[in-house]
Amino acid sequence: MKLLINSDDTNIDLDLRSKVTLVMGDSGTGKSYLVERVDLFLRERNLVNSSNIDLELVNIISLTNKNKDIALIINNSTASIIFIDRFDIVLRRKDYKEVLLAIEHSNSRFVIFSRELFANCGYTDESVAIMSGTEKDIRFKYVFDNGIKGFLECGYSL
Amino acid sequence: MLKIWTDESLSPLPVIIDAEAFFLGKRRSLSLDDDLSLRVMKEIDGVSFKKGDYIETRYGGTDISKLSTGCKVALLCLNFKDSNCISFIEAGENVFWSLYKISEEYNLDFNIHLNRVIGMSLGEPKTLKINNKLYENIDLYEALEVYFE
Repeated sequence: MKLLINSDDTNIDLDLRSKVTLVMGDSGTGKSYLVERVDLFLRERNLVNSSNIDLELVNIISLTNKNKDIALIINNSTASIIFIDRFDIVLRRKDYKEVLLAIEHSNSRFVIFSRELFANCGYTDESVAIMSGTEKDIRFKYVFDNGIKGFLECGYSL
Repeated sequence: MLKIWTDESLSPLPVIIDAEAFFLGKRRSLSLDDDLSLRVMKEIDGVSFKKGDYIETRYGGTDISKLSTGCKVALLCLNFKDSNCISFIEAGENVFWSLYKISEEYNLDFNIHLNRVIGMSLGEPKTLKINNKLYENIDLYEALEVYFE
Protein backbone atom coordinates (compact mmCIF):
# COMPACT_ATOMS: atom_id res chain seq x y z
CA MET A 1 0.00 0.00 0.00
CA LYS A 2 1.25 3.44 -0.86
CA LEU A 3 0.12 6.58 0.89
CA LEU A 4 0.67 9.80 -0.99
CA ILE A 5 -0.13 13.13 0.57
CA ASN A 6 0.63 16.17 -1.51
CA SER A 7 0.52 19.83 -0.67
CA ASP A 8 2.05 23.04 -1.94
CA ASP A 9 5.22 22.65 0.08
CA THR A 10 5.56 18.96 1.00
CA ASN A 11 5.03 15.61 -0.62
CA ILE A 12 4.69 12.56 1.58
CA ASP A 13 5.16 9.27 -0.26
CA LEU A 14 5.01 6.33 2.12
CA ASP A 15 5.34 2.74 1.03
CA LEU A 16 3.48 0.78 3.72
CA ARG A 17 4.53 -2.80 3.08
CA SER A 18 2.94 -4.57 5.98
CA LYS A 19 0.39 -4.10 8.71
CA VAL A 20 2.88 -2.31 10.94
CA THR A 21 5.68 -0.14 9.65
CA LEU A 22 8.14 0.46 12.47
CA VAL A 23 10.11 3.66 11.95
CA MET A 24 13.42 3.95 13.79
CA GLY A 25 16.62 5.90 13.20
CA ASP A 26 18.76 8.73 14.51
CA SER A 27 17.37 11.77 16.25
CA GLY A 28 16.64 14.79 14.09
CA THR A 29 15.91 12.78 10.95
CA GLY A 30 12.32 13.94 10.70
CA LYS A 31 10.16 11.30 12.37
CA SER A 32 8.13 13.73 14.44
CA TYR A 33 8.26 16.21 11.57
CA LEU A 34 6.44 13.65 9.43
CA VAL A 35 3.77 13.20 12.11
CA GLU A 36 3.37 16.97 12.35
CA ARG A 37 2.93 17.21 8.60
CA VAL A 38 0.33 14.44 8.67
CA ASP A 39 -1.44 16.28 11.50
CA LEU A 40 -1.39 19.47 9.47
CA PHE A 41 -2.84 17.73 6.45
CA LEU A 42 -5.54 16.16 8.55
CA ARG A 43 -6.44 19.50 10.05
CA GLU A 44 -6.57 21.17 6.69
CA ARG A 45 -8.36 18.27 5.04
CA ASN A 46 -5.81 18.50 2.32
CA LEU A 47 -5.55 14.88 1.35
CA VAL A 48 -5.49 14.85 -2.40
CA ASN A 49 -4.04 11.66 -3.74
CA SER A 50 -3.48 8.05 -2.98
CA SER A 51 -2.74 4.96 -4.95
CA ASN A 52 -3.87 1.44 -4.09
CA ILE A 53 -6.20 2.71 -1.42
CA ASP A 54 -9.53 4.40 -1.57
CA LEU A 55 -9.36 7.46 0.64
CA GLU A 56 -13.11 7.49 1.01
CA LEU A 57 -12.77 4.18 2.80
CA VAL A 58 -9.53 4.85 4.62
CA ASN A 59 -9.39 7.00 7.68
CA ILE A 60 -6.07 8.45 8.79
CA ILE A 61 -5.49 8.89 12.50
CA SER A 62 -2.53 10.51 14.21
CA LEU A 63 -1.79 9.64 17.82
CA THR A 64 1.03 10.30 20.29
CA ASN A 65 1.81 9.24 23.81
CA LYS A 66 -0.41 12.15 24.93
CA ASN A 67 -3.56 10.35 23.82
CA LYS A 68 -5.04 8.64 26.85
CA ASP A 69 -7.25 6.14 25.03
CA ILE A 70 -5.02 4.79 22.32
CA ALA A 71 -6.35 1.24 22.63
CA LEU A 72 -9.94 2.46 22.52
CA ILE A 73 -9.29 4.62 19.48
CA ILE A 74 -7.65 1.70 17.69
CA ASN A 75 -10.46 -0.66 18.63
CA ASN A 76 -13.03 1.81 17.31
CA SER A 77 -11.21 2.32 14.03
CA THR A 78 -11.47 0.04 11.05
CA ALA A 79 -9.48 0.03 7.83
CA SER A 80 -7.55 3.08 8.92
CA ILE A 81 -3.95 4.17 8.68
CA ILE A 82 -2.88 5.01 12.20
CA PHE A 83 0.30 6.96 12.97
CA ILE A 84 1.59 6.62 16.54
CA ASP A 85 4.48 8.91 17.51
CA ARG A 86 6.65 8.49 20.62
CA PHE A 87 5.68 4.86 21.06
CA ASP A 88 8.64 4.32 23.44
CA ILE A 89 6.71 6.32 26.01
CA VAL A 90 3.48 4.44 25.24
CA LEU A 91 5.35 1.21 26.03
CA ARG A 92 5.92 2.54 29.54
CA ARG A 93 2.30 3.25 30.25
CA LYS A 94 0.16 0.99 32.36
CA ASP A 95 -2.10 0.28 29.40
CA TYR A 96 0.66 -0.77 27.00
CA LYS A 97 -0.60 -4.35 26.81
CA GLU A 98 -4.07 -3.15 25.81
CA VAL A 99 -2.47 -1.01 23.13
CA LEU A 100 -0.44 -3.95 21.78
CA LEU A 101 -3.52 -6.18 21.83
CA ALA A 102 -5.54 -3.55 20.01
CA ILE A 103 -2.85 -3.32 17.33
CA GLU A 104 -2.67 -7.10 17.01
CA HIS A 105 -6.42 -7.46 16.50
CA SER A 106 -6.93 -4.38 14.38
CA ASN A 107 -7.51 -4.48 10.64
CA SER A 108 -5.90 -1.08 10.26
CA ARG A 109 -2.38 -0.31 9.15
CA PHE A 110 0.07 1.33 11.52
CA VAL A 111 3.07 3.58 11.21
CA ILE A 112 4.77 3.42 14.59
CA PHE A 113 7.72 5.54 15.64
CA SER A 114 9.74 3.71 18.24
CA ARG A 115 13.26 2.70 19.16
CA GLU A 116 12.01 -0.30 21.06
CA LEU A 117 10.74 -3.53 19.64
CA PHE A 118 7.48 -5.14 20.58
CA ALA A 119 6.20 -8.55 19.69
CA ASN A 120 3.20 -10.06 17.95
CA CYS A 121 1.89 -6.92 16.36
CA GLY A 122 2.38 -7.60 12.69
CA TYR A 123 5.73 -6.22 11.74
CA THR A 124 8.69 -8.10 10.41
CA ASP A 125 12.32 -7.42 9.57
CA GLU A 126 11.10 -6.25 6.20
CA SER A 127 8.89 -3.55 7.68
CA VAL A 128 11.48 -1.69 9.75
CA ALA A 129 12.14 1.67 8.13
CA ILE A 130 14.15 4.81 8.63
CA MET A 131 13.37 8.26 7.35
CA SER A 132 14.58 9.20 3.91
CA GLY A 133 14.10 12.01 1.43
CA THR A 134 14.01 15.68 2.37
CA GLU A 135 11.70 18.04 4.22
CA LYS A 136 9.94 18.65 0.90
CA ASP A 137 9.76 15.02 -0.10
CA ILE A 138 9.29 12.62 2.80
CA ARG A 139 9.84 8.91 2.24
CA PHE A 140 10.82 5.75 4.06
CA LYS A 141 13.88 3.64 3.41
CA TYR A 142 13.59 0.04 4.49
CA VAL A 143 16.62 -1.22 6.39
CA PHE A 144 16.08 -4.77 5.11
CA ASP A 145 16.61 -3.50 1.57
CA ASN A 146 19.94 -2.09 2.69
CA GLY A 147 21.24 -5.31 4.17
CA ILE A 148 20.60 -4.59 7.83
CA LYS A 149 18.88 -7.57 9.40
CA GLY A 150 18.19 -9.05 12.78
CA PHE A 151 16.11 -6.28 14.33
CA LEU A 152 13.56 -8.61 15.81
CA GLU A 153 15.45 -10.20 18.65
CA CYS A 154 13.89 -8.73 21.73
CA GLY A 155 11.22 -6.39 22.91
CA TYR A 156 7.94 -5.96 24.65
CA SER A 157 5.36 -8.67 24.28
CA LEU A 158 1.78 -9.24 25.24
CA MET B 1 32.87 10.74 31.68
CA LEU B 2 29.74 9.18 30.34
CA LYS B 3 28.06 7.10 33.03
CA ILE B 4 25.57 4.64 31.63
CA TRP B 5 22.88 3.06 33.75
CA THR B 6 21.09 0.12 32.18
CA ASP B 7 18.28 0.13 34.72
CA GLU B 8 16.49 3.16 36.08
CA SER B 9 16.66 1.76 39.59
CA LEU B 10 20.47 1.65 39.54
CA SER B 11 21.00 5.34 38.90
CA PRO B 12 22.00 7.36 41.97
CA LEU B 13 20.31 10.39 40.41
CA PRO B 14 16.60 10.79 39.64
CA VAL B 15 15.88 9.57 36.11
CA ILE B 16 13.99 11.70 33.61
CA ILE B 17 12.14 9.39 31.24
CA ASP B 18 9.85 11.75 29.35
CA ALA B 19 12.43 14.22 28.08
CA GLU B 20 9.92 16.00 25.90
CA ALA B 21 7.60 16.87 28.77
CA PHE B 22 10.46 17.74 31.11
CA PHE B 23 12.09 19.99 28.52
CA LEU B 24 8.89 21.86 27.83
CA GLY B 25 8.19 22.23 31.54
CA LYS B 26 11.67 23.63 32.25
CA ARG B 27 12.05 25.47 28.99
CA ARG B 28 12.21 28.98 30.46
CA SER B 29 14.95 28.10 32.93
CA LEU B 30 17.18 26.15 30.55
CA SER B 31 20.51 27.43 29.30
CA LEU B 32 20.26 27.06 25.53
CA ASP B 33 22.55 29.75 24.16
CA ASP B 34 25.92 28.50 25.41
CA ASP B 35 28.44 26.97 23.02
CA LEU B 36 27.73 23.35 23.94
CA SER B 37 23.97 23.73 23.62
CA LEU B 38 24.37 25.33 20.22
CA ARG B 39 26.78 22.58 19.26
CA VAL B 40 24.38 19.73 20.03
CA MET B 41 21.53 21.56 18.32
CA LYS B 42 23.68 21.90 15.22
CA GLU B 43 25.00 18.33 15.29
CA ILE B 44 21.70 16.61 15.98
CA ASP B 45 19.04 18.79 14.38
CA GLY B 46 21.10 20.83 11.97
CA VAL B 47 20.26 24.11 13.70
CA SER B 48 22.02 26.80 11.71
CA PHE B 49 20.52 29.86 13.39
CA LYS B 50 19.00 30.59 16.79
CA LYS B 51 17.61 33.78 18.20
CA GLY B 52 15.51 33.49 21.33
CA ASP B 53 13.02 30.71 20.75
CA TYR B 54 13.31 30.93 16.99
CA ILE B 55 15.54 28.37 15.29
CA GLU B 56 16.30 27.36 11.74
CA THR B 57 16.77 23.64 11.24
CA ARG B 58 17.14 21.46 8.19
CA TYR B 59 13.33 21.54 8.08
CA GLY B 60 13.13 25.32 8.01
CA GLY B 61 12.31 28.01 10.57
CA THR B 62 10.48 26.91 13.67
CA ASP B 63 10.18 27.21 17.44
CA ILE B 64 12.64 25.67 19.87
CA SER B 65 9.88 23.42 21.20
CA LYS B 66 10.02 21.65 17.82
CA LEU B 67 13.55 20.38 18.34
CA SER B 68 13.75 16.61 18.02
CA THR B 69 13.22 14.67 21.22
CA GLY B 70 16.78 13.38 20.97
CA CYS B 71 18.13 16.91 20.81
CA LYS B 72 16.07 17.78 23.87
CA VAL B 73 17.60 14.78 25.63
CA ALA B 74 21.09 16.11 24.89
CA LEU B 75 20.17 19.60 26.09
CA LEU B 76 18.76 18.18 29.31
CA CYS B 77 21.99 16.25 29.84
CA LEU B 78 23.93 19.50 29.54
CA ASN B 79 21.57 21.41 31.82
CA PHE B 80 21.05 18.78 34.51
CA LYS B 81 24.31 16.89 34.50
CA ASP B 82 24.77 17.32 38.25
CA SER B 83 21.25 16.57 39.34
CA ASN B 84 19.61 14.10 36.99
CA CYS B 85 20.10 11.01 34.89
CA ILE B 86 18.48 11.46 31.48
CA SER B 87 16.90 8.51 29.74
CA PHE B 88 17.89 7.76 26.16
CA ILE B 89 14.80 5.72 25.36
CA GLU B 90 13.81 8.36 22.80
CA ALA B 91 17.29 9.39 21.69
CA GLY B 92 19.14 8.03 18.70
CA GLU B 93 22.71 6.83 18.50
CA ASN B 94 23.80 10.18 17.08
CA VAL B 95 22.75 11.80 20.37
CA PHE B 96 24.75 9.25 22.34
CA TRP B 97 27.93 9.91 20.38
CA SER B 98 27.47 13.67 20.34
CA LEU B 99 27.25 13.66 24.10
CA TYR B 100 30.07 11.15 24.49
CA LYS B 101 32.43 13.37 22.50
CA ILE B 102 31.52 16.38 24.63
CA SER B 103 32.14 14.42 27.82
CA GLU B 104 35.62 13.50 26.55
CA GLU B 105 36.56 16.90 25.17
CA TYR B 106 35.40 18.90 28.19
CA ASN B 107 35.88 16.29 30.89
CA LEU B 108 32.24 16.49 31.87
CA ASP B 109 30.21 13.82 33.66
CA PHE B 110 26.82 12.85 32.27
CA ASN B 111 24.54 10.21 33.72
CA ILE B 112 22.35 8.56 31.12
CA HIS B 113 19.87 5.71 31.18
CA LEU B 114 20.11 3.27 28.28
CA ASN B 115 17.60 0.54 27.49
CA ARG B 116 19.28 -0.93 24.43
CA VAL B 117 22.62 -1.53 22.80
CA ILE B 118 24.41 1.25 20.95
CA GLY B 119 26.40 0.58 17.80
CA MET B 120 29.84 1.97 17.03
CA SER B 121 29.26 3.28 13.53
CA LEU B 122 29.46 6.86 14.79
CA GLY B 123 32.26 6.59 17.35
CA GLU B 124 34.51 4.49 19.57
CA PRO B 125 34.54 4.91 23.33
CA LYS B 126 37.84 5.24 25.16
CA THR B 127 36.51 5.25 28.68
CA LEU B 128 33.06 5.16 30.15
CA LYS B 129 31.18 3.58 33.01
CA ILE B 130 28.37 1.09 32.76
CA ASN B 131 26.51 0.62 36.03
CA ASN B 132 29.47 2.15 37.86
CA LYS B 133 31.98 -0.28 36.33
CA LEU B 134 34.82 1.33 34.40
CA TYR B 135 35.35 0.20 30.80
CA GLU B 136 38.29 1.22 28.64
CA ASN B 137 38.72 0.80 24.88
CA ILE B 138 35.82 -1.60 24.63
CA ASP B 139 33.50 -2.81 21.95
CA LEU B 140 30.52 -0.90 23.26
CA TYR B 141 27.97 -3.04 21.46
CA GLU B 142 29.33 -6.21 23.05
CA ALA B 143 29.67 -4.60 26.47
CA LEU B 144 26.07 -3.44 26.46
CA GLU B 145 24.71 -6.62 24.93
CA VAL B 146 25.51 -8.41 28.17
CA TYR B 147 23.03 -6.21 29.99
CA PHE B 148 20.25 -6.54 27.45
CA GLU B 149 20.35 -10.24 26.60
